[in-house]
Amino acid sequence: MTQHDYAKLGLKCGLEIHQQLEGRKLFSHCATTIRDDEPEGTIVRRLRAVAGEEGHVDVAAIGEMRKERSFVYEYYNNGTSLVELDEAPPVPLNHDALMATLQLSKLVQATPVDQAHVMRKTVIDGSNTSGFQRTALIARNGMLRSSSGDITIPTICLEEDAARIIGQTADVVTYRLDRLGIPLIEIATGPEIKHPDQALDVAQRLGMLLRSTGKVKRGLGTIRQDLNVSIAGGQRVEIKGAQELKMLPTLVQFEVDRQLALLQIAKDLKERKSATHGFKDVTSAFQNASGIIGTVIKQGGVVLGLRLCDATGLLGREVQQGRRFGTELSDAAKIASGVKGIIHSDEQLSKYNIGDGENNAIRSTLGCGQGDAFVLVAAPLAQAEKALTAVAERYNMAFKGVPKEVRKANIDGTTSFLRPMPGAARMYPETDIPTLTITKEILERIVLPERIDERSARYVKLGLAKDLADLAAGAEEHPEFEDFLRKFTALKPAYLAEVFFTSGRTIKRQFNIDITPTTEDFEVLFSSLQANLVPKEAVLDILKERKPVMELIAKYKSLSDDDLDKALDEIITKNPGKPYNALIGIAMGTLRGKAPGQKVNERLKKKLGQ
Amino acid sequence: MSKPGDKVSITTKDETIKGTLMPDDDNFIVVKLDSGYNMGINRKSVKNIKVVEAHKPHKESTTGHTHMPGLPLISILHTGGTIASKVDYETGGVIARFSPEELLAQFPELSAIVNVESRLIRNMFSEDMRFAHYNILAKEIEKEVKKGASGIIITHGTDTLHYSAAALSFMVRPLPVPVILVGAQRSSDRGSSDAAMNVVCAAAFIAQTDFAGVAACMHASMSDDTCVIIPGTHCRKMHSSRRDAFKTVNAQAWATVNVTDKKVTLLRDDYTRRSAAKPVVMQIDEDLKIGILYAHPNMHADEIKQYEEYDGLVIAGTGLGHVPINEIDDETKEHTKILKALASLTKKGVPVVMTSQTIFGTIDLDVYATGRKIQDAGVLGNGTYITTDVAFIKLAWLLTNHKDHIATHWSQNMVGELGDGSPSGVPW
Repeated sequence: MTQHDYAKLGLKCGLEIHQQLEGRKLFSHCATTIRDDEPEGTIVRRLRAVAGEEGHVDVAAIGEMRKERSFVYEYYNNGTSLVELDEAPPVPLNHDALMATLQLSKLVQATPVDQAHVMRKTVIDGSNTSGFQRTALIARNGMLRSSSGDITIPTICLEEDAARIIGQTADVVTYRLDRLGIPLIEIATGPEIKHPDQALDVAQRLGMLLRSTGKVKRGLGTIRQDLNVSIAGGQRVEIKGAQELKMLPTLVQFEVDRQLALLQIAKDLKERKSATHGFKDVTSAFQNASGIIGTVIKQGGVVLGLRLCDATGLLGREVQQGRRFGTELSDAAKIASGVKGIIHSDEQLSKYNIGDGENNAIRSTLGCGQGDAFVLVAAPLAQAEKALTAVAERYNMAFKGVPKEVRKANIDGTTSFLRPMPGAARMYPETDIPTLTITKEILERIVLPERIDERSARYVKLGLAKDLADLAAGAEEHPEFEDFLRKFTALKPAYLAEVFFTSGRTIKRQFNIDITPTTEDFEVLFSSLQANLVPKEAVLDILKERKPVMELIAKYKSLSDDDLDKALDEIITKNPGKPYNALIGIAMGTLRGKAPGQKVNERLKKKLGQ
Repeated sequence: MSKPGDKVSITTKDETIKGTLMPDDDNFIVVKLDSGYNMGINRKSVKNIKVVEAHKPHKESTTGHTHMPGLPLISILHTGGTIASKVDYETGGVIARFSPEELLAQFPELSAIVNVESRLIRNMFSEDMRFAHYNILAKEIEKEVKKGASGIIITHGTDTLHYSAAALSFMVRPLPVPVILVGAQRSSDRGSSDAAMNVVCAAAFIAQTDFAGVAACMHASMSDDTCVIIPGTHCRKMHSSRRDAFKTVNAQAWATVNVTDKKVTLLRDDYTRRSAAKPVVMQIDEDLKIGILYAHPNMHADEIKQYEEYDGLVIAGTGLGHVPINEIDDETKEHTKILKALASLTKKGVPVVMTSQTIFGTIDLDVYATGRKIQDAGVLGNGTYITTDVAFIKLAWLLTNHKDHIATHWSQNMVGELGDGSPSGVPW
């Protein structure tokens, strides 16, 4: 990884976090369950771009409508409602979700608005059945302290999550409505993040504060972080869908790499005075085509070519680890037309079975001089035309440097083009929902939750090691744990935490058994331990049985002192002449789990007169 | 003085907020921030509002429109149920669009099917419609037919669209062209609006068939694939919000239209064909007072008596057309009074017609003794399949145009309004 001087480069980086909330959906009575069972029905819809002022349609919306797609929505009879199907008006905004948002706002000292207005934000990629997302600004001007400085939190919004993509073909996108309408808290930071590592720190802190409310959904996909990155001379690029927090620094780093590379390409393009020329049909260059190209031609498709003057070497230039300028052009083609990819002249053409003969024919038809590059696409005619139109557009954008756009995070930390950055003003009031006055009474009812990091510090003071304290503090069951602390004062807090939070892991690791003890099981267990009814050594054995602990106490009851003596006497009698070391081994083996080890040792020693 | 649309700088005791001023909301000053979000600021907190840039209303571009040769000319008459609108993102306002240019801009597919002229008659909620508005609309249809329109599309609020469809069916005859009512269950400012498909399918139906008469064109299902053409006198809004709220009652729909390929599938061929006939408008007397009474358990004679000063009464009876008129025990003494009240009403000269609140099915007053007693009391309607809504319209129209022959004309199928019990489009 190149180490950049981020300050010198003028790095600006901001984070946008979307966190799902538990409970009911934001504007319907449905639960917020994600379903993986077969949907019970589907409907088909088409969304239309809506004209704004003067017939001007939002840029991103035109892009979507151009694709002439239809959308299939999967629904359930119980679990999704007419609201999600856009067949009934929304119900009043979920009050619990509002309170959770206000709680979070208080945690970052943000000021709630006096009156919140739910807005319609135009979205016609199909992910919202109504053609818009309902979203409301709830609080402003918050602040987060991070290890490398303060970060502003200009806005906190409450909005509905979108439907999730199940499948996609050239003409149809299939969405499932289970996720549509789940409440999301959106936290947007200012662009004060100055270093890739700081992005991770900020994300972790915000995640901790959100979990501190106790109202958030947990699990994969319940929290999403988007990055905004720009460098001086570049443009703000939004990166969506970072899967793992630990990839955030890499994403920032690679985006800086990409913007720097694109700025250099812009310089080079201008210097070389490069240009695009209209695309031409070069199918005739392929006489006996094989491979991908051959298949397309046989099915009635064509090969179209686009000449890029003086571009040789530029297409193959790396802009991010493993991605080239040519990859950016390919992204544009894929998104616009659905083609699987493009072929460009900086590549190893032989891997597409394009030999010298074909190459010369192509270059001749396109009028390529030395130093000129070309881009090919093999597809049905209409699709190929769409693809190369998009390539030409993207190529021309490269003269200006970095396009302002929305990109998708890839698993390796690189990014791919997703869509143009939408225009700013595409929101208008959601008149089906009355405005929400955030009164003094509402504000007084907000209880500041204990922050997870503060809870962890509290546990450390009680004697838990830091890692265990973090685990316990962040766990959903920490209230039960604190109950145990209050009830079983004879047992050490650290011991209670270890048994309650880590027994499952330990048993899985040692015996490959999954245990599912209930709170009651632990109650009985701790109660018995505190009363010295069972020894500590028996705990894992008890839990491993996967039976109600209540039924097992008799079986694992500690031996009384008399019985212990009797057992030891028997061992001594049966093993005459053996030394202490041997006897203690036998005793431990026989009596393990029936008496505390220390006691066994003490009493044996006494008997042996030691 | 600041006004909505102005770019302003608002000073409170804590901060200065920049944005665009929105219309006030009671005790709150509403401002649209640069992000696009609106927020309300408590009026008491506002110290000062400074206008940074006054609002410049955009000039409406008048581009005009041309007619393509070879395409039929349709007239779109707007009464409400805005099918086309645009969003002014700057102010957040939704503005209705009525002109032909605006409609063609909103529904470009139309220009491949028909030429369009359009006029704004009203922009009203359909629940506010009165007989006077039916008369206005009927005259406008007559005008458009005279002008040579190949077909007429009427945009209408969905709540009472079926009442208007029935009214026009009686009032403008003979109709030489199709008159299709369309509405939108989802407002047209949304990307998901059903308006576009309803209008385009109506236009396709007009362009491709020789159908003449009044019909409604709305979604056939929750999907955006097919519209259904419903007879104007067998139409009803059956769901408060679904796109496919409109169903055919006691009859079969005329046709379906697929929005993808604009293909029209005729389901029946017993429709009136296009002709060169000149329609005559037979209006409805605007001063008529017609009541609709919903029968129910625990009824009282007073409910009937309150219609003594009315010109006519439609009763939505239970089952086959029943009202509680049987005194069978001490508890049902009121029912004799109800029967008396019915007889008294009809004797006074107030026509009383029976329909069924089940909506579907026949009114048969011969099956049970109840029904026979109701007939003896002078109530009309035996043997008819007619919805309460259409009965209301028919009664008003008969009282205006055939006052002395209500009884005979009630059981006559005048414009196809009496159903035939054929399976309807609604699955049970």
